[in-house]
Amino acid sequence: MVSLSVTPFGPQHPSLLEPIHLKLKVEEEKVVGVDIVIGYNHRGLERAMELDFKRNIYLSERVCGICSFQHSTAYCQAIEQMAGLEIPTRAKLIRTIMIELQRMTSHLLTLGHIAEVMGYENLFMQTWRERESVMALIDRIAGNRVHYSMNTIGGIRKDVGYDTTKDIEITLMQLLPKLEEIRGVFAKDSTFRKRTVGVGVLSRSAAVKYGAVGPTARASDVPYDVRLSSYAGYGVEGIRFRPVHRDDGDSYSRSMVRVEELFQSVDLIQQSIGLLRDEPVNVPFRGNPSGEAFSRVEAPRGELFYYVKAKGEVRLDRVKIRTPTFVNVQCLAEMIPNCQLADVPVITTSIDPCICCTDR
Amino acid sequence: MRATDRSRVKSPWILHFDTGSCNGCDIETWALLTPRYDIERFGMLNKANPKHADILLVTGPVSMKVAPRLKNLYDQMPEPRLVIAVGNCACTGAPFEECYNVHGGVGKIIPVDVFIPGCAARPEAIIDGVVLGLKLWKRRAFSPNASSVSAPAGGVEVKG
Amino acid sequence: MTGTTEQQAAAARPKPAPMPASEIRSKVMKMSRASAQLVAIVAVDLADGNFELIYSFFSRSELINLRFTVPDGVEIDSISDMFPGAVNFEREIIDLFGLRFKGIPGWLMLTPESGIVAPLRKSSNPSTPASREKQGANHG
Repeated sequence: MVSLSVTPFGPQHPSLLEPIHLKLKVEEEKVVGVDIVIGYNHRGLERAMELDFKRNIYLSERVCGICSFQHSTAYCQAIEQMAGLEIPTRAKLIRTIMIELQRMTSHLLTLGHIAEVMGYENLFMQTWRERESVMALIDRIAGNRVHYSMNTIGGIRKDVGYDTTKDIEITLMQLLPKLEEIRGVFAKDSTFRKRTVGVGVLSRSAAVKYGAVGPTARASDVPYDVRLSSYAGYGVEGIRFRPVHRDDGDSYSRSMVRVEELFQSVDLIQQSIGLLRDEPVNVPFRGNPSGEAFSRVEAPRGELFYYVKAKGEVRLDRVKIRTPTFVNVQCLAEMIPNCQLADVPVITTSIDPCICCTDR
Repeated sequence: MRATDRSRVKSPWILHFDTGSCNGCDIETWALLTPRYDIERFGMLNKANPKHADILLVTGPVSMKVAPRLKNLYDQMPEPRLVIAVGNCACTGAPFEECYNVHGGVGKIIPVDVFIPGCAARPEAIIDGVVLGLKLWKRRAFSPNASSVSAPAGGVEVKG
Repeated sequence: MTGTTEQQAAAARPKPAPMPASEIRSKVMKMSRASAQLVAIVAVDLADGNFELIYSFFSRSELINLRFTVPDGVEIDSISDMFPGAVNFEREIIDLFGLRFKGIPGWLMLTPESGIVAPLRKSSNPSTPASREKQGANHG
């Protein structure tokens, strides 16, 4: 007689960076159902962000450490929209450069993490070593590896000089051959393919039903990318961009979408640097915001959505943050059943969960 | 110093736990394992089992849902154990101090031995903090009542 | 203007009046038939005993926001049968605003032991755990 047992996964687990609890219903090594428990990381930031709209530029960064610049961009964009501000093209392009640099660090992190989770320590170390070059570059540009604090309402706080853009170009040229090597391993290595091909399949209809976003959706043949909506520098004349997408919907496809997006990011940064012209990097913003705004950016994990409502005071009326993992984590209920118990960490890591974003 | 004390100081095993942080300090902690910072050359390994670990590296301002889990992990770790709070939010709870679901720092739940400030704390600072903790252990091995280690601006020094 | 192109277009259009809560299912059904993607469900406390629920959908390169006014204490229809991804949004609104959705449980973000009730309502003034403990010690 087959008996059902419940195996807890998390909130403290070697393969989990963050606390999430999965109650796996297991029948003889095969997982037949999952209950997802989140909320361990809930700090109550939406309430804290109602207190002072200027402080939120820095508080929104600290919602998440891996996509911090995306959060501050989305927030500043919302306030700029309410105030009807047009930020200079140079500020838009610098925002694009920093967004794409952060995307590269995030994708390299996830690729290394998924390699580590399947026991492929060597690939984890190689990927994170390349990630360190990008982190050191960001440290030289912004002064901090994690929270850049470069955004302000009206553009960018301080200009980025010619030396810095030269530094970015040279670092990326040195990095490209190493990224090619990494792409070769992820695409063709039999160990990686055995653990990810056909594992954790998310069909196209399920992706649309759950509202999946980001590489999780793009790997399931849903070409949904907010960068097509021309926010920040993506709408500047001369920037050419097409979303990467695949149609298998398994963990392999999701990882390959991220690998291809690394090269897309390098290309976008090079295009943006080529279009920089000499002009100021911010416009002045005075007074208090009033009205409401919907702001969307493409974070590394998917669409990040901010709703801000203000009444002409320093205090805001409502700030709502909808992060990509908040919807993507529900897709685990579709992907995990009928997989082996040993595949659960691989599937969970392949959607690139960012639980601090989910719980805020 | 006994052989076990020597091996503990020369090769401490680390348990890392996130109690609700933004993840910045956690990524920097994981970056320690990677080739650029490489704490494995100091004999430090990232272990999952609290009963195997010597050092508990905690990040995050401790949300209410996770506080019992943190206490549970701390209670499971055998003595002697070292608790290191990494990052501004683990030290004092800032910038989430006024949030309704946050206790405000690891020190509110379990006793902390070393505080590492920074937002996010740099990997070099985390290594510095762990080494400071090991000095405290060495000190305690010789005089068990030693409870503090001070680090003046010019360098790291042990006072007992 | 900064922001996405559809945001700029939407900002230029006049804002439609909010609809009553009874029309939630019929309007969302139209979105479901058009294969729209659910982006977010936003709840706003209007501070006059009513709440505004904004259902944001992305359809045909446009962000469509359906606004509904919901009085306090009314049980709201869930849309989780049409959009399974809506469950987490509804559970979060139950926790943070104290509203009720038919057939949807709460306790996604908060726990019953925390003593925090509907912290995002304008009328509630959620304090930190330290001050709640002090208050408890003073009263007990």
